[in-house]
Amino acid sequence: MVTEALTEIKKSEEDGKNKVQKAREEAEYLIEDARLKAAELQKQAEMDAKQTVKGLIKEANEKGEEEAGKMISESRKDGEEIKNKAKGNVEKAADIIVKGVLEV
Amino acid sequence: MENIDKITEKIAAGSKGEADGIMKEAKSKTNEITSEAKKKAEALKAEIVDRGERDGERERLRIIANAKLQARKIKLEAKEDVIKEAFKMAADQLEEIGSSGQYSSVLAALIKEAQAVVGEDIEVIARKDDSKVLTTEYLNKLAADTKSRIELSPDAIDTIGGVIVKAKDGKAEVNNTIEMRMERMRGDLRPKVAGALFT
Repeated sequence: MVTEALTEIKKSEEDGKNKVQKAREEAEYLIEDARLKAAELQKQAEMDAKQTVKGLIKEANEKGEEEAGKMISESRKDGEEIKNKAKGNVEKAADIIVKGVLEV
Repeated sequence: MENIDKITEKIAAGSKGEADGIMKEAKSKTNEITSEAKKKAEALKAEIVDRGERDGERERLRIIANAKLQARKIKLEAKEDVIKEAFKMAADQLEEIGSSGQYSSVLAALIKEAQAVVGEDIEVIARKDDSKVLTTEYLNKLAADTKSRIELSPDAIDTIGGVIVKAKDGKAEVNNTIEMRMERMRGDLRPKVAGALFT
């Protein structure tokens, strides 16, 4: 009767130990899994950000090129205007040079 | 037997409590890890995007700065083209001076100016055709004006007009050809020319 009782208690203790051990293993697994997911989250965030940056740089480049194009086109027009306006004064300027060279 | 059941139930309840505690703690830990990871990921993303925005803006400004330089260059080139045109026109006009009526007095002035630098006794080197102007009589008159000795060199130079004047002792020389004068005066004349062209 006593032996039977002790066996019963021992079995109960064993079951309890197993239950706790199983809980520990499951907890370890859950934490490790959370860590892996966290690392994955970081990696994904970095990748997403880099992709966004790629778009931003492309957009900035396009914007810059567009502004630059306008600026250069405008300066070409200005250049032509400068030339056209100055054409009428070329003779006067040449006279200044001739007088300057011959002036002793 | 009833007592044994109570003991085993107590043992089982204790183990369950301990296991539940472990799981509760684990869940709390995983929540903490996940929450922390989300925060870090957001911060990392914001940092990278922020840096990217600044890089993009810097790139845009670099492109614009280059364009500004290029635009400035285009306008300067336009001005330079007209200045060159004026100098070309002047050079064409000066080329005709050599066959004009005023050439004789131009030569006299150029010789006298060079003589002031070189000295009294000089040798004048000119174009072959200019010997028609630079006759002995002409040079003697010029020498009398300046109380000096002026000789025409038998050598000739290739120029649109003007002279090279050398001291007889060979110690000094002034190149007073039209081309050389224009070259020497280019820097001084440019602002005046630009003023006449662009104002």
